[in-house]
Formats: sequence, structure tokens, C-alpha cells
Amino acid sequence: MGDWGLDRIMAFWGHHLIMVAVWLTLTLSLNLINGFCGLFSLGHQGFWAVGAYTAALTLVYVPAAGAPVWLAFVLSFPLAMLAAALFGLLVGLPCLRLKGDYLAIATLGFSEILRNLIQNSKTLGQSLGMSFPNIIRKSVEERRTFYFIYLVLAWLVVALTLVVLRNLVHSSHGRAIQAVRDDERAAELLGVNLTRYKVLVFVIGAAFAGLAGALFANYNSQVTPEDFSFNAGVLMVVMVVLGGMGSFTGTAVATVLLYFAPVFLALWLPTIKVPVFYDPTQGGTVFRGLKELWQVLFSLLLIIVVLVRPQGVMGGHELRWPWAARKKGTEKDAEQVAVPGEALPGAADAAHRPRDFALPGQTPLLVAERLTKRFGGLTAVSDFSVTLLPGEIVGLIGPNGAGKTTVFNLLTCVYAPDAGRIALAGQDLRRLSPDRVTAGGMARTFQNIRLFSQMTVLENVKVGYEVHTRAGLAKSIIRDRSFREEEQRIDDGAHSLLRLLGLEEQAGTLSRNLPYGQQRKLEIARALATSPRVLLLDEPAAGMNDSESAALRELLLQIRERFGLTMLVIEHDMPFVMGLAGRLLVLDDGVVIAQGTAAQIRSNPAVIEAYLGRDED
Amino acid sequence: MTDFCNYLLNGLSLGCIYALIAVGYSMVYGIVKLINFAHGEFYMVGAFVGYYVLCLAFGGTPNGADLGLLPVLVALLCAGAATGLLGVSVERVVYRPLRASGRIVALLAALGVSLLLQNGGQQTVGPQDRAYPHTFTFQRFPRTPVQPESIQPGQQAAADVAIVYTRPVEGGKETIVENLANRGNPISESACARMREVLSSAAAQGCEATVYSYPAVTVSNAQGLILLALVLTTAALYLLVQHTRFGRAMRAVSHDFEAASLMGINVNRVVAGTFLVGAIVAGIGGTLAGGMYYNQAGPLMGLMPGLKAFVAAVFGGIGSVPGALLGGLLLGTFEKLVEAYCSSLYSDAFTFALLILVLLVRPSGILGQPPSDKI
Repeated sequence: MGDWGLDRIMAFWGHHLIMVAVWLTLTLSLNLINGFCGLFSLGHQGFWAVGAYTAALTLVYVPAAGAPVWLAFVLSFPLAMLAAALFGLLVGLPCLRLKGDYLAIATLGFSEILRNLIQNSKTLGQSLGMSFPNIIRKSVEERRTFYFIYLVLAWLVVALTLVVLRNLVHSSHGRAIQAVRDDERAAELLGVNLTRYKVLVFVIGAAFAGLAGALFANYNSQVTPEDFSFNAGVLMVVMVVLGGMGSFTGTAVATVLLYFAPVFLALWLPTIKVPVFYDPTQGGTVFRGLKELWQVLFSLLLIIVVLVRPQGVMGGHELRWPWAARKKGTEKDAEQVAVPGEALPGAADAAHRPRDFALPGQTPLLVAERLTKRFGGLTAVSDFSVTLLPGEIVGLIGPNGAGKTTVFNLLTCVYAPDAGRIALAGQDLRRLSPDRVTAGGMARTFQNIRLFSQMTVLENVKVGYEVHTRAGLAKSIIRDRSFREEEQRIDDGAHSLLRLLGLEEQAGTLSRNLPYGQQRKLEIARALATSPRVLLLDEPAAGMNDSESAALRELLLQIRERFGLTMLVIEHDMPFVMGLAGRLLVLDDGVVIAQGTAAQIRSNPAVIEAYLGRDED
Repeated sequence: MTDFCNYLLNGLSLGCIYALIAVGYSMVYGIVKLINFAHGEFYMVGAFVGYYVLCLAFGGTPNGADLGLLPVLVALLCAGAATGLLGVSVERVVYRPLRASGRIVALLAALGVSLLLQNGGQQTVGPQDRAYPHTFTFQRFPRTPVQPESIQPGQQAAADVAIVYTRPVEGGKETIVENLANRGNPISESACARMREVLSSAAAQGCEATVYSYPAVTVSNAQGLILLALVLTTAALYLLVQHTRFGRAMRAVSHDFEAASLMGINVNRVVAGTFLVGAIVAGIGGTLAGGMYYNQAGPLMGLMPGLKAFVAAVFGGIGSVPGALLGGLLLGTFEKLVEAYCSSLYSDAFTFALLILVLLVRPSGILGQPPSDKI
């Protein structure tokens, strides 16, 4: 190894350990956006650049204005975070409606615009960037002290990032964020405000990238546009993907591995050269060293990982302390758990009480009048009206394509009606967003089950509590007593709901591993968590056999008693819905063709014709 | 006004290049809903295949003799073939296994392929840009020959004047265009002297030399060739997509992947064929860009044009071939006009700002159709 004095060793390790800390801050914050919220951002390097350049500007102009140098140093960090957070807001807001690859390209676009602006700005030094004196370096005598100070600072930053992000993820906000990733529409209908969380994720992710930028700028004493290139951004993304999106452990492991791989390649195998190409125009065989080939190997690695193990090293799991409960993964065989008509717990569960809407007597709870919805030339629903009295169960039946799910979408304000109005407990629902409708007391389940597939059974139900949650962001991060008490209440409530529906044993299973019938019940449990007054059920018995649907019917009746619910049920299973609902509406081609009791509907000629057709005479 | 026309023509040329790349993006996206990030690198590979064919098979050098049209056509053919093969291989090895895996995973794989080709290029052909071998001298048209005697020093030049002559070099003849006077400026003594010098040495060597005057707005033969390539490609694609069985299959698959496979269409072959066609067109675009427009090729040359062609494809309507062509032409023109009238530094920023605007306001683009989303 040659002549390596202690100083050189310290400089080598010090430098790399500090830089890996910068990268860890970047990838952990990126994991929040990409991994936990599923917003695939390719522009994280832009936030890093904003933070670094803001810090640089602070370090250059604050002392120039006469303030002491240590003040510039101290100010550079919060200012960098603030500037980056603002840029995160700027990027996040327009990207709200974008999905998947379009979002990726848009974030890339923002980052490229930023880099273009930086590269052309004289204040920012254009291509040469900005250099400034290193405050710490100048204040200490020995190089080793300099490295030591930055090591401590760098790893404090990493620790801060990890603690804040982890606390955020393990709170109701974190669950909401993951729900947005797994199924936006379902999350919205459980009371999650999509706009708020998507923007939040961008702002927080950007803020910590900005912090990394401040750290980098201060340590490096120099910022150039090349430091924040698209390649750097891709490297960050690959680190997150390789480690497993949605896993802090995975991100950390992958970041360290991918950062040090080229370093060690250069250190241990500097002289090996391999022939890579034969080029007569360049004079024959071309040789390259392993360090140079690292980029090529890295790209190959990305392709192989994506092909072979796209969930990354950790697969979205975290490394836990051995004595903590583990998430049950795909290896577990989920058994069928039968739910006979279970006796309900006697006393009303204190953790879960329906909210009090205080309606007198027989005032209708849900009133829909003359709802109409057109899609282009097709009228999906025409003049639909229904009145639900408190405690009623009304069935909505009709042939496929009649518009039943569209009615649900109108009632929950997923679609805006072209005509008509809806009132829930007297409150006009027009122009409300779906999450506000849920907060107002109307919850639903879906025809195609829309569970949050990457979250556990328990977490799915907990998301339903979003409408109740009071703990703000700061409290969630600091974890004060009121936060912990609320988390405990949510936990208790969720467990009691699962117990009610016979799912408590599966609390730790990933929801996508449940058998079909139990997934349907989980959807119901989740909807119940929002403390609804009205529950809209879209084909809850689909795919169930006779005994299962009978048990479900019993369960729904019990739930109505227990929680004082009113229900509107779409179904195709006639025995099921006729034994459940007091009254039925028949929809055909968007129009209500009959209303009445089961007996009346069964013998109604219009209904028979709609389902079975008419004799051609 | 004449300036505007010249910028416009330059922009249209660049637009043709973007259109050729954008077509591949659009076709692939229409069929498999994948943004093939590596498409810009197909363009780069095409440029390099063309480079090597011209250098090794025809002995081309940056400052050497005119090669003429035939070597260019051969280079285009080889570039198209090689890139097509590359495109099909990438699809088969990387994208096909991931077809069911979700858009983000496929995007990551495409990113990986793109990086592999870029970095692979840097390590094989080297990171520096290379000057493209000289194919033919760019000459502007229309032009009228003028009598050398009418060029006198001190006169105000009524039009751009240049002398076009050939001279023998190693490997053949080289055509040179030397500017003598610019419209609106006086003709200098040295220019006249140079003209006489060239005329006499050309006569002595038995080569041609003519003095031409040019109108304010001209088109170069290189621009013409690029435009011709685009027109021919458009025609070929139109015939392919609208009037062949394969084209019908492509349209079916892009409307509904599953239904098409249930109708007996071999979707794997359709997807492979789409990648093939898209890559061939990008490869041809690469050689044209390297040889006729930029006059150089480098391993990273596909990065920005690739991104911009993607913007063009989205702008014109992703999934639509006419949309990609229109988007490419418009974007190239837009970029050059912004460079000329606002600032050449910020044209990249404007392009990306346009992308974001399109994604927010009308994501389906000019000619695309808005998608529907069933709850």
C-alpha cells in the first residue's frame, strides 16, 4: 500500500465517510418520495443543487455584508432547507395530476431547467460554479480536526434525517402516504387528502435533499453544476431501487455499497486493464481499467436487478430488532378463516364510536335527487333519485353496465354530476372532493377490491382512521404524549374492528396475501374505520359461495346494529341482497325502472325483461 | 424577414432529426406504454455505425475527399440495420420479460439500457466527440452563376457571393465553398484577389470553379437530404401502418393489447417489429444528424436529442406517428427560433418548460387522444 501516513488514511476515510453521509441523506429523502409515496421522481438532484447553491450564496454574501463568518455557516443549513423545500413545492404542485412515467419525466424536466438556469447564471458562476473559503478548515489547525468535525456533523445530519423520516412514516401521515402509493382513488375515498400528502412528500423530501446540499457545499467549499448532473440523479434513484423502495435499511445498504464500489475498485484493482473494443480509427485495441468500467458494470447491475429482483435487496422490508414483530411476507400460507355468525362483544367499544350526527326521527340521511351523468354521448345515469332513512339497508340491483357503480361514484363525488343534487345529513355534497365526503360520513367499498396491497391488514384499517386523526406533522415527528395516545387509540380501534370481522389473526399479513373472501371483509373493516353513517357496498358478496354470503349477510346486519349504519348495497347475488335489504332499486341503462320490496321486484315485468329479456311473439 | 426564414429552415432541419427519433418513441409507447429511454442511444449507435462504415469501408476522413451519395446511402442502410437489430435485441432481452411488471420497473430497465449504451459507448469509442467523415460539401441553393468580371472591389454586394471549386486531394476530389462577399457589405480587394487565384489554379489543375450569387434565403443540400429522408420515412411508415397486414396488427395492438392477442395476432412479433422499425428510423436519423447536421458524433450525443425528441413525441401526441412527426418539426423550429430571438443559452430550459406545460394542460398532445380511466 506504500507510504500511507495516518494523515492520509484519515483524509481518505474521512472524505469518503463524509461523502457517503451526504449520499445517504439524499437517498433516504428520495426514498420518501419514490419508495413510500410511489411518486417516481427523477429530479432529486435538482433539490440537492438548490440547497447547495443556496448554502454557497449564503457563505459568499453573508460575510461580504459584514456579518461574522460563523453566522454564515450556521445560516446556510436552514436557508438551504427552506430554499429546497420551496423548490419542492414548485415541483410538487404541478406534478399532482401526473402519474408514473409522466411524473418521472416532468421531475426530470424541472431538474434540467434548473441546471440550465444555474449553468447560465453569472451570479452562480456558470459552468465553473462557486468557490468560497472553508470556514471550518480555516478555524482549525490540523487537518484531522477538520475531518473529525465534518464527520460528526455529517452523521448528525444522517441521524436527523433518519429519525424524522422514520417517525413520519410510522405515523398516520406515513400510512396515508403509503396508501396514496398503493391506491390513490381508494385512499381518497378513505379521507386522505391527496394534494396535501403529495405536496408534503415533495416538500419534505426536497428539504432534506437541501440539507444534504448545505452539508456538501460547506464541506467541499465548492459547487459546480456538474456535481448535480442527471447521472448523479440516476445514481440516487438506482440506490433507492436497488435497496428496495420503501425500506430505509435497504436504501442505506445500497447507498453504501454503490458509493464504495468504485472507490474500492480504484483502490484495490487500479492496474487491471481489460480490452474492450477494437477500433482501427483509434489505433487498434482499446483497453480500460476497472474503475472506468464501473459505470458500465453499474448499468448492467441495474438491468439485472430490475429483471431478477425488482423489489431490491430488502424487498421493501426493514431490518428489525429481533424482538420486534416482523411483517409476514409472501412465504406464509394464508388459511381460510371461517366466520360463522359470531357473537358481538357486549359493551360498546370505547375506541370506536360512530360520530354523532344528531338527526331527529325519520329525517332522511342521504338524499340524491335526479342525478344525471353523461360521458360524451353516453348517458350513464339519468335522473337517479334515492332517499335513505337512518338505519335502512337499500339494495341497488340491475344488469351489468346499468350504471350502478357510476351511481356510487356520483354519491361519493368521484364524478361531478351533470344535473341533480346530493345531500348527506342535510349537507350539500356538491363540489366537495371525495375525501371530504368521507369525512362527512359516507364510506364505500369497491367492486374490484382496492386494498393497499403493500401494507398489512392492520395498516389498511388504520388508514381508515385518517379522518379522525388530529396529530399534526410536528407532533408525529416529535412523538409527544398526545401523539402516542392517539396512535394507541387507533391501534386499539383497528384491532377491535379486525376482531369483529374475524381478521385479527391476520393483522400482520400483507393484505395482498389474504384469500379473496377475507380481502372483501378487510375492505369493509377499513371503511368502518372512518366512522361512517352511510356505507356504500359495491358487490360485497361477489365471489362468495352460499355459506360465505350467508355469513356476510349476518355480519352486515350485526354491523348495522352495532354502529347504527345505513347501507346502500350493489349486488348481483339475489338471495343475498333480497335477504338483506328492506327495499330495492332496479337500475337498467342508467334509469331506475322499479322500486319496492323484494317480493314486488321479483314479479315486476319490467325487471324481468331487463334481466331475462322478453318473449318475441 | 429573411433572417426569420433562415432560422426557420434551420429549425426545420433540426426538427426533421427530432421527428425521426420521436417516431420511434411514439410507436413504442403506443404499443407497450413504455418510454424507451434508450431510444436516444439507438440514435447514437446509428451515428457511430454510419461513422465506422464511412471511415473503414470508404476511407472517409473529416477533411478528405468528397465521398458522394452512394457511401452515404450505404452508411444509412448499415446504420438502420445495426440499430434495428439492437432495438429488437433490447426488447427481447430486457423489455419483454418485464411486460407485466408495471410501468416504473420498465422505466428503470429502460434507464438501465440507456446508461449501459452511454457508458459502454464512452468506454469503447471513447468519451470525446469525433469529427464525422466528410461526405459532400454543403452547398446552398438556389444559386445563379455570375461572371467573375462583375465582382469588383469597392462595390456594394447585392447578394451573398461565393466561389465553388473542386480540387484534387488524396482519394479523389474535394469540393470547397469559399465566401467572397456578404449581401449589403462592400466587396474587399482581398476577396477579389482570392477569386482570381482560385480561378487560375482551378484552370491549371483542370478542375471546375464557378462564382455564384445566392438569394437571401437558401437551403443547403444537406438540409434537403434530411428533409427528403423525413419525407421518404413518413411515406414508408404511412404505407406500413395503413396499408399492410402488419400495420393493421400494430394498430390493433396499440388500441388493445389483450384483445389483439385474443384475435390471433402474435403480439410478441408485433412488438418486436415496432421496436425494429422505430430503431431503424432512429439509426438513420443518427447518421444523418452526425453527418449532415452536427458533423460530429459522440457517445453522449443521444442524451439531449433523445430527451427533446421525447418532448416532441409528447407534444405531438404520444402514440401517434403523425403526432411525433409534427411534434418533432415544431419542436426543432421552436428551439431554433428561441435561440435566435430570445437566448441561445436558455433554449434547453424552454424546451423542458414546454414539456411541463404540455403534461399539465394537454397531456395527450396535439394529435393524441385523452385516455379514459375506469373506476
